[in-house]
Amino acid sequence: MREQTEAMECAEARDHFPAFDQQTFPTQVLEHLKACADCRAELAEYRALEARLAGLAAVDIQPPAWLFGVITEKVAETARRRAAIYQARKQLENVTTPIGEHRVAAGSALGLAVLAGAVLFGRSRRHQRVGGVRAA
Amino acid sequence: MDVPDSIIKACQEGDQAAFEELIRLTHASVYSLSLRIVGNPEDAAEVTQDVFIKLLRVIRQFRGDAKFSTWLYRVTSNVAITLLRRRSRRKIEVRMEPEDWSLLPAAESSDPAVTAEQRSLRVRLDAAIASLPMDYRTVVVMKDVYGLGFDEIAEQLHIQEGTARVRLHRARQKLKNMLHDELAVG
Repeated sequence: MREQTEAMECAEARDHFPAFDQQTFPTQVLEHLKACADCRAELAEYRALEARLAGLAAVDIQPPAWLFGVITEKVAETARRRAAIYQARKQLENVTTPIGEHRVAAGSALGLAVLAGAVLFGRSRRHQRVGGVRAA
Repeated sequence: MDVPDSIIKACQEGDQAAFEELIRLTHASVYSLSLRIVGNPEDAAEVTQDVFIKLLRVIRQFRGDAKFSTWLYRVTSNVAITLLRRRSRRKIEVRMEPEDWSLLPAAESSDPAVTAEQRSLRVRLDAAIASLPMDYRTVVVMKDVYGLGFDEIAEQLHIQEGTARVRLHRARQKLKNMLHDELAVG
């Protein structure tokens, strides 16, 4: 019965070990660790795993020899294309800006002409009506 | 990975020679992270190319708040996960057999802290990680190997932080069981 209880405690305690950080362990787990050598050994394995995983990033895998050349080529090609697009945009901006300004000017002139026409037309209609009434 | 600030600054100013130097200094690290996430050399090479093409566009966004290596790992994992997502939509997952990892040599390292033991252990660790299901593999590689935070892992994988923690917990359990013999000795 005692063995079963200890086994259960071990299983329960070991559920916390993959968190790695002992500071997050509940007090009962820490108490259990003090008393249980097997669980300390189990926790030590997790510690070793943590250290080895963290060290893995420093060990790079050798990329294929052709990769560096292909990357630099593609990057240079992309950079050229981006530069060409940038230049084209710039040129387009230079071309469209004066047209845009002309359009504003033409629009304003047309607006003024329409306004002036409307005023003149209104005046002539008023004169006609006044003249018509007088004639009547 | 050690990239001088002057190289990064020159890259941000559009210096092509500096960019080539950046590729030379970092492409093995980018390739290694890509391979550890996607699980096969062809896709890892594709991801590595895409990372540097993306860098052309985004390198100006690096402000120096974090280490450049961490920032580059973030960009790399993002590109690798995008490829994995594309593959999984088409229900394709190509990955090497765990024993094939021994065929991949370690890159020459200028880091004196990298010991011969670490190099030999690398194959067994990589093979064990590669045998994990994709969901577990990505989390353990991003968190435990490359030190990315749960928040960015969750964001990149489109999962809750709690889900990322659960996956990591299970991945560590599986790895510990797989590597029991050598971890117990060590």
